[in-house]
Amino acid sequence: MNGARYRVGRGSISATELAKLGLCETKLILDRTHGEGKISARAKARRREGTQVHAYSQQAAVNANGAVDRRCFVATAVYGPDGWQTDRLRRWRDRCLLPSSTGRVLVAVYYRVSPWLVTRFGRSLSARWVARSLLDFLVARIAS
Amino acid sequence: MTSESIPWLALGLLCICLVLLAFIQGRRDPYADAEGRRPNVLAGARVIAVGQALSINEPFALHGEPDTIYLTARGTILIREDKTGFPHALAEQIQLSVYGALIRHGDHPEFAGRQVETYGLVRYGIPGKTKVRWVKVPLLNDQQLGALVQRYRQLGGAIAPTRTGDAGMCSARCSHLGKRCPGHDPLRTVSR
Repeated sequence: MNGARYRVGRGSISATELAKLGLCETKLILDRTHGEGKISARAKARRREGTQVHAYSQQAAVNANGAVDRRCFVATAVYGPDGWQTDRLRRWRDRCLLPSSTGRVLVAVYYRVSPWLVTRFGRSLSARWVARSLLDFLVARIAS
Repeated sequence: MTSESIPWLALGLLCICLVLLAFIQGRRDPYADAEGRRPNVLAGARVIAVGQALSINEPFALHGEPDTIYLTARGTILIREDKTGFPHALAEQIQLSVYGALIRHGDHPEFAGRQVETYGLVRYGIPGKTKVRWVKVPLLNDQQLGALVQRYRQLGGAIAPTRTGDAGMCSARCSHLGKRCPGHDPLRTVSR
C-alpha cells in the first residue's frame, strides 16, 4: 500500500514546509537562512520515537481495516449472532458508548464479565428469561 | 459494620476489581486499542494508502506524504495524520489541506473521481504513553491555500514574517530563541 517515490518539480513546496507558516513565520525564514540549528539529544530521541509511533500506528490502522467488532456476548447468546436486536445493540455500543471514556469503561467491564456470565448461566432458562427481559427493555429504549 | 452492609461492600469491591481488570485489559495492545476508539466517521472505512508520496504542479506546486488515507463507507476520501508531539491546530490544518489538494488535483488512479471530505482527522498522542485524542480539522479551500502559497513565496522579501504567539513553541521547538529571535509575540493569540 506504500506508494512509489515521486518526482518533485522545481519550486514545489512540501506540506510540512507550508505548515510551518502556521507555527511561526520567523522560524521558517530563520530555518531557511541559517538551517534548523543544533538539534538536542532530547529532540532527536523525540523524533525517533515519533517515527516509531507512526510506523506502529499505520500498521494498527491497516490491521483494523474494515474490521467490525462483532462481540456482544450476552445479546448473542439470547438473540443469536445475526439477530437484528444484536446488531442494534452493537450499533448503540459503537455510536453511543465508545465515544465517551465512561462508555468505554462500561464496555470493557461488560466484555470482561459477559463471557463468564454466558458460560455460567447460559443454560439456565430462568437466567436467559431475565437476560432477555432486560435486553428487550434496552432494545426498546434504544429504538425510541 | 452491620451484616446488611456486607453484600453491598462485596459488590463494591467486585466493581472496583472489574474496573481495574478492564483497565489492565485495555492496556494490552495500546495501538489496537487506540484504533478501536476511532471516531464514528471511520466506521466501515478502509485504509487505501499509507505514506503515499503525492505531488501536483497545478494549481500550485506542492508535494507531501499523508500518513493514512481512508475510503469511508460513504465512498469519500478521508485523510488522517498522526501527531505525537506539540499540537498546533493551524499547522495541522495547513498540512491536511495540502494533502487534500494533492488528492483533489492529482491524477492518482485510486483517488480519481472520489470526493475528498471537507475535514481531516488528526490523532494526537502516543498510545500507551500519553493521552490519545482525535480531532476533526476543517480543510482550507484552494483559494485559502493559494493565498498561503503566495505568502510563503513572498516571505522574507516583500512581506515581513510574523512571530508565533506561543511561548511554549519557542522553548520546545525552536533553536533560534535567544540567538536570532527574541521569542514569542505576546500580542498574538495562540490556537491549539
